[in-house]
Amino acid sequence: MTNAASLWNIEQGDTAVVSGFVGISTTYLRRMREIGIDIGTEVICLNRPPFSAPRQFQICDGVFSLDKEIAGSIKIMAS
Amino acid sequence: MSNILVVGKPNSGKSLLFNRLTGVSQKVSNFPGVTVEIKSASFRKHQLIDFPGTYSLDPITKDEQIAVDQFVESISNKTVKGVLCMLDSTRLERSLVFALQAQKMALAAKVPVMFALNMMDDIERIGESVDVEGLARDLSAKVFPISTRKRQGLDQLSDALDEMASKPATFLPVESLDLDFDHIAKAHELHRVYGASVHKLLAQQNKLDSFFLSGVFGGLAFVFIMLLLFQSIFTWAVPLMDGVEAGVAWMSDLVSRNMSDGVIKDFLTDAIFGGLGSFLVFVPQIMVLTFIIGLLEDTGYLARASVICHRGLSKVGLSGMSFVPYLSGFACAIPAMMAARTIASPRRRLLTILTIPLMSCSARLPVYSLLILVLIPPIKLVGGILDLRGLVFFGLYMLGIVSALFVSAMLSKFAVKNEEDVPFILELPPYRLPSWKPLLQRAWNSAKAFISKAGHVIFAVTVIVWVLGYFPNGAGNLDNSYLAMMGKAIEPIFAPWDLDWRYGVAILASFVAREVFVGTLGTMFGIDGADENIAGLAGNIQADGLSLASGMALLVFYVIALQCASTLAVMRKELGSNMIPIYTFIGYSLMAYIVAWFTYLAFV
Ligand SMILES: Nc1nc2c(ncn2[C@@H]2O[C@H](COP(=O)(O)OP(=O)(O)OP(=O)(O)O)[C@@H](O)[C@H]2O)c(=O)[nH]1
Ligand SMILES: [Mg+2]
Repeated sequence: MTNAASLWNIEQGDTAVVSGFVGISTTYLRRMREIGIDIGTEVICLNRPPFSAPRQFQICDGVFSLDKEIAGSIKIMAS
Repeated sequence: MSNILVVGKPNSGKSLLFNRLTGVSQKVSNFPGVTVEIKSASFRKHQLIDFPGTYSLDPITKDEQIAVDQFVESISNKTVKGVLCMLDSTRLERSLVFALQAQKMALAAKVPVMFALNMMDDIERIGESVDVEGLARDLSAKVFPISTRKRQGLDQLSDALDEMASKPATFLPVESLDLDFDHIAKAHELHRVYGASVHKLLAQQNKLDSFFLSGVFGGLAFVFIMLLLFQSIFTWAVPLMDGVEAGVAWMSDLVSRNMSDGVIKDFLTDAIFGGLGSFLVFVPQIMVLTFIIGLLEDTGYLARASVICHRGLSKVGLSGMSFVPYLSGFACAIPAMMAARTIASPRRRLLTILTIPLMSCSARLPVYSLLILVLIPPIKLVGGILDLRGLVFFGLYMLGIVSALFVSAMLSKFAVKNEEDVPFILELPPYRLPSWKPLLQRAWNSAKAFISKAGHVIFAVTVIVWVLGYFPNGAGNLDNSYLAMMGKAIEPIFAPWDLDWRYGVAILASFVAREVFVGTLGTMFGIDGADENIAGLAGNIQADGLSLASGMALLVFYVIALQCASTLAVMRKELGSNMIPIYTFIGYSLMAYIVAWFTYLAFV
């Protein structure tokens, strides 16, 4: 298991389980929980547009675009 | 007075419901964060208040801040008799996260809460259902399944709302509720137990996304859609414009034939038909523009466009969230600046607001169109698919966009401090088919607004210009008029672009409102040429011999100059600064003058 694995690294179509957050302010940590991203939740990577554009993740009943900055600070468990 | 607050998650249909119940036309669009201000209207004997959407009571953007502050303030206000929480049945868990927080706060203040479960048409379409009774039981409140779009369930909801606002106490839960729960966990649980499975809806959405957000195709689709937008403003409106022009010419002809010569007749043919008439010709273009922007908003594509643009815009200090304000800037800078409230980063929001005036707003349309008709021949290109006029038109819009990006990059590099940045988080709304009736209604309203402006500001300026241009020597003596005396004093300013005093007057007058340029020139050519307006203003200017270089300089000037007092006033309000609008005005005026000069030199 690599420590560096984050939401930003998962491949299109893959599912990952959130294991923690690194370097996110409390405001955004709260917002992540509110949009459904919490430790233990499953997240599916739907799309990875080219040129490091924000990527699309399905979280429960919603689809959110997250940029590298925030997706990179959401750590995932190796599956 | 009794107020009912309509709150809920962004893009859940609050404003559409508000419109249906009150009969007003608040802006509705398929993008999270459309409403950025509180709006109220009367519903039966009560007032309904539409709030900006928010994901929680802990705001991160300015529009959310407005919603939350106002909600917290209102809830303890005696006039507030109830809260209607909008739930999107296709995004139930996300809706409940906010709804539960709002319910908690309202009940603590003894204000009753009721829920509307919207978008039930989508749930039914995929053969799913929501356990409404179960949900209502667990929420200890009334829940109304509705489809605002299809007007289903609205009567029951209206009656219940009326009753709640009339007898609020009877709508409070009988036993005191345990308000000490974790709203996020509870939202998850309620959705799991009572919610519908929306996999089918999400699968449909993903299929389209994998096209519109994919590499090559997504990029091509983006360019194609933008090109279509600008090309259509120019080409689709042409038949309608020709119609209006013929109508104005016909009336002008009728009047001049049936009236005896004199000051009144001269005034009508020069100022009214020549001035205002030549301006009205452009109304169809405004309608087409509004229609197409509305079409894009309805489909849900704008959120995808924001994603595609994000990286590029970030490089110049903006954000993907700047895309929607920029696009609405093509209609008018004022709502566009307000739409920038959805940008979480203060720095990116500032840069967006400062550069929105460079988006070519609809007030520039008449100026662009007129000068293009004068300067550019109607040559068909690529076997008739494109035409040269459409391309030049597109080029002017592009020049505005490129200037905006350039200015933003420079300011971001040298002037605006680089504070800590905030991440990009955007919910992707579902793709929807547009609702045609409201779209057409909006296009019509834009035309009405444009015409009513013509009736006030532009009419006033036109009359002043006519009086100054007509007296003391009457028709055909523009060159010896009071206007000429004043105009010749300022002639040197525009002499470097080889423009005579008449254009100088038109440019200066258009600092009142850009469209005045057309009316002013129309009036002056009218005075000079008696009733030859039938040829159309473009024809008159052509016959007068405006050179390509001078004309291009004029066009470029209008792309850049910030000639709109209302824009500056809104900028002042949105940024809370007196100085920034002043600097912005001076900066853009100088920039416009200099770039126009270079343009003249390039074409001469
Ligand atoms: N299918 C369907 N679409 C709906 C329904 N109600 C609203 N919509 C659509 O949902 C989108 C959002 O509607 P709005 O009324 O702007 O939503 P809002 O909650 O005011 O959004 P914000 O102001 O951004 O918070 C629009 O495209 C509406 O046409 C409904 O019952 N069914
Ligand atoms: Mg709204």
